[in-house]
Formats: sequence, structure tokens, C-alpha cells
Amino acid sequence: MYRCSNCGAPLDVTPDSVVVVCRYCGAPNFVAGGSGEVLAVPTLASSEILKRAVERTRRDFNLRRRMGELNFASPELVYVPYYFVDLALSAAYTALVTVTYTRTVYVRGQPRTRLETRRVNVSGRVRLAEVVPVVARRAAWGESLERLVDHYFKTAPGATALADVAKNASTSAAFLAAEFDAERAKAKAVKAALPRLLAAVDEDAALKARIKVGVLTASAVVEDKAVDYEVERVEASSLTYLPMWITPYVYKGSFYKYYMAGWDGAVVLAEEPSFVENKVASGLAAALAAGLGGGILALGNELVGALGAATGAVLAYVASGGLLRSRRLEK
Amino acid sequence: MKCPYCGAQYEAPPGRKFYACPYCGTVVSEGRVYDNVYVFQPRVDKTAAFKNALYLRPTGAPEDLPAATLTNATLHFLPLYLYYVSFPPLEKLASYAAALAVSKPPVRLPRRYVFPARWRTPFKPSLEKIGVFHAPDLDPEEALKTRGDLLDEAYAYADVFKTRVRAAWRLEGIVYYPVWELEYSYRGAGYKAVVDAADGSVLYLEYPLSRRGRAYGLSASLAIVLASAAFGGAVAAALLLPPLKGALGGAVASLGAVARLLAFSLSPRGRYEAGQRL
Repeated sequence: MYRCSNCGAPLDVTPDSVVVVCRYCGAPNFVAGGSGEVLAVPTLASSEILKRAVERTRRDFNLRRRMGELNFASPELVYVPYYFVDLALSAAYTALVTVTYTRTVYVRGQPRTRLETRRVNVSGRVRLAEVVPVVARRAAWGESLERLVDHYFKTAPGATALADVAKNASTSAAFLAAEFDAERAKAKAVKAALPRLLAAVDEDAALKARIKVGVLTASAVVEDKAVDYEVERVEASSLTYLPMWITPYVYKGSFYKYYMAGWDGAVVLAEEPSFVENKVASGLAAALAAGLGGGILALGNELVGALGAATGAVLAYVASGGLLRSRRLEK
Repeated sequence: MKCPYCGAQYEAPPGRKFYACPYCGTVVSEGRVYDNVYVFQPRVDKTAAFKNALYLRPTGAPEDLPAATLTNATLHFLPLYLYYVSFPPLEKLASYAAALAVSKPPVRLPRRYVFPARWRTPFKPSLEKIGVFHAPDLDPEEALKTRGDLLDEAYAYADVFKTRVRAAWRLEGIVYYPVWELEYSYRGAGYKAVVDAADGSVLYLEYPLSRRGRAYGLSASLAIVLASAAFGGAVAAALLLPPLKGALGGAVASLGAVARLLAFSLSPRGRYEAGQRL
């Protein structure tokens, strides 16, 4: 059995744990070897979080008129481990691009439009530099964590040493064990950034090809490319814990949840009942989409009409889903 | 069969490749013992799980659904293989991964379901039968193929560093994930529900559709046809085209949405399936 290196209490360790925060004394334990600094963002107290949740509800368009029917339960704290990977990649490429454009030629004094296609070879280098947040958990549970980190970047609260934050047992029990180390986080960040780098390569190649042909409005499609990557920088931050509070409330017997940032009490994601007004809005959106799209049929132009009606029908189908949902998310 | 880990005796029908002890979940396969077993602690009992399902209040459910009675509850432990996957020569990329070890889960799971790794506690054997431990039936190598994301990640990383890596893995043990399968009766008819027993979230729910719920679906579909026709006519009129044609177009374009609402109102029972995880 693993024991805390600081206080000797037993640790909840699974085979994939890398860093485990002792639930009794709050000391970080590097159970898979290694060492390093662990940081955490301090959180507001539970009572303060509850106050912010109520304040947010008073401002909410749908919920404020039903305040009397809502009951809040006590918020639950989770400290989520993140790595922030500072990444700079560059890609030198050569690409074959097909450029298509229209040209007006005069045949015996009569203007004629002709579709021209040219294939050109281009080369260049693009660079991508960004900070990629990576949750240090194998099965991270989605949406709320992404919103939390977005809010972290926007508000930039300071992080301090873990020891200053995990001071009492109720806080230290909230720390989730980190399940992979900084190297794995770097791999995840590179994987997340590669599609963006390749998209930048395509964009750059298309632009260069248009310039080469001399028609900036032409359409350009990258047929084939060879890319040589260069890593200029890939550095992972210290393991950083961000506090998230999950505040449940009851409306007509059902539970709904607010996901809140611990440092300022902002609701980053809110689950809400779908009320009559939300359903009416979905129904109107569906009818508007169908009406606008279908109305184009009256033009008499079969192709344009069919395209309009089909687009309207698809949008209406999607919007009608709102009539059948009993819960919705507010971001 | 006698479990090599906890010593319990249990029935082992012949002809299977994997056997799971019904008491502690230890798996025996062709002479090999998988005694590295981890169990996600069920934190939600059947009463709480049932309450979560009944109070979900999906669209069209009767107001008095919480008055339904629980007729049967089974706690299933779904086996997942736990692997240690490494990528020599980049040893630092190594990590653990889990994949569902059964080809057909005994309960209905949402598509691309991710087992949350939160409340896991290491396995503590007990001689109390708390649920059904399901034996794996997939080959570990085959099950690992469902985790292509993990390999992609490592290859992408290695590619950027111009290194060639190969994937090597070893089976570390079995992880059991608890799920409640509930059956309940409402006004004489039976329905099913599936609730995650580790965090209490409702994964799947069958429920009766109330008359009011059906009427809501029907009137909403009628309202959409009429409103779409009205909007279509107005668009055509604004473009100085025959409004009747526009109205007809609007009504035609609304048919997909109408079909969706009608399918809901006319189906024998309502169905809820958990979507994205929050």
C-alpha cells in the first residue's frame, strides 16, 4: 500500500496515478517517480460559491421568474489537474495546388467566359505558437472542463504552491489524481495542434498558388503536399490544479447543475430546464427556417428552389429537436 | 470452479474462454489468473438510482411518474481491460489505457460512452454478492483496437520529432465499472432504465408518454406546418411571387421537423438517451 510521504496516511492509488494529493494533509505524492512543483489556484469558500450561484440565477432570463420554485443544494468542489503546454511548431512544405478561375475571352468580338484550371507547385514555411491546455486525466468528462480552462485563460487568476491551497481536509479530498505525466501531456498537445498546423499549411499554399497564377479570387485546392516539421519549443508547465464547483439545484423534483470556476464564482456552464418559452423559440426557429427555405420554391427556378427548400428542411429538422429536449445548456 | 483469489466456489459452464468470480471479479482464462482487479465503487444505491431516473422528467413523461414502482434492480459490473501501453524508444510516452472487454454489454450504453475515471478505488474483496460480474469475451488485443486514439497520439508526436516508434502493450488487469439496470412498472406496464452506479447519471430511460405529452407533440407539429406555410407565403409575397406557391414550399420544407414530432407523439413509449457528458 502507498503511504503519504508527508504524514504517512494511506493513499488512494490506482495503477495509472502519477501524482496523488494526500486527502488528509494535502501533500503531493509522485507515486510513479519523478518530482516537481505542483501549483493550485485558490478557491472561494463554499458559502461564497452558493451566493454567486444565487446571484447568477437572479440575472438569468428564464430562471429569475421562477426563483420561488428553485432550491439550491450544497456545492461540491473538484480540483482538476491540467498541464499547459507551450508549443511552437513550424512546417516547411512543398505542395501541388490546383487553381481554378474564370476568364473572359473574346471570340470574334463576342465575350465568352471560360473555366481555366492550372496546377502549380508552391513551397513555404508556416509557424504555429500557442499554449494548449491538457487535462491530466485519461477519461476527462468534457464540456465543463473546456469551459473552465477557457475562463482561466480569460481571467488569468494566479496559481500558488499546492501547500498554500490544500490546507484542510475538506479541500485536499477534492484533488483528483493526475493520471499522466508532462511527457504524455506534450504528446496530447502536439496531437491537438497538428491539424491546426496542417490547416495553416493548406491556407498558405492556396494563397501562394493564387498569387502565382495572378488571380486572387480563384479557388485553390491542395492536391498533394510534403511537410517537414520542426519543433521550436515544447514545454509543459508544472501540474496546475484548477478548482471547479458543481452546484446542484432542484426544480420540480429534478436536479440540474451549475459548473462554476472556483476562483471567481463564474458559472462556466449551466444546465437548465427547457421551459415553455424555450420550446416556443425552437418551434418558431423551425417554422422560420422551413418558411424561408421553402418560400424560395416560388421562384420557379427548380435548382435554386430545391436547394433552398432542402436547406430549410434540414435546419427545421435540427431546430425541432429543441421541442423534444427537457434540458438545455447555457454557456 | 474455485476462485484462486478469494477461494469461493462457483458454477463454471464449460466451453468459455473467460470466467469471472461472482464474488470478487477475479478472471481466469486458460490457466491464467487475472487477479489484478480494480472496482469502481458503486456510490449510488438502487433507491437513489431509481429516484434519479424518475425525476429526470423527460419531455412527455406523466407528472406522476415518480409514483412508479421498482420491480427489479440488477447491479452489473462491466469489465474493462486495463493496459500499459508503451512506445519504445520514446519510453516517456507510456501510459495506461482501458477498453471495454465485452463485445455486447448487458445493458444499453450511449454511443461512444466514456467511462469516467473519477471515483475509482482499488479492489477490496468481499464475500458478499453485490452484483453481477461479467466475464470478458473479447481478446485483449482486439479490445485494444478500439483505442486507436491513443496510438494516433503517440505516432503524431513521434512523427514531429522524426522518431520511429512501435507500440508495445501488456495487460495490467481488469477494471469493473458498475451500472444499474432497473425495471419499473407504471400503471401496469413495464419499463427499463440504466443508471451509472458510480456517479448516478441516467444513461437510458424508457418511460410512458402521457396523453398530454402526445397532444403536445401533435399540436406542435400542426403549429409548425401552419407557421412554415405562413412564413413561406410571406417570403414569396415579399419577392413579388405567388404567395400560394411559397406557402406550399414552406409546408413541404417543414415535413422533416413534423415527421420528427409525429414519430415522438405516436411511438408506444418515450426514450431518453444520455447525450454529451458535462
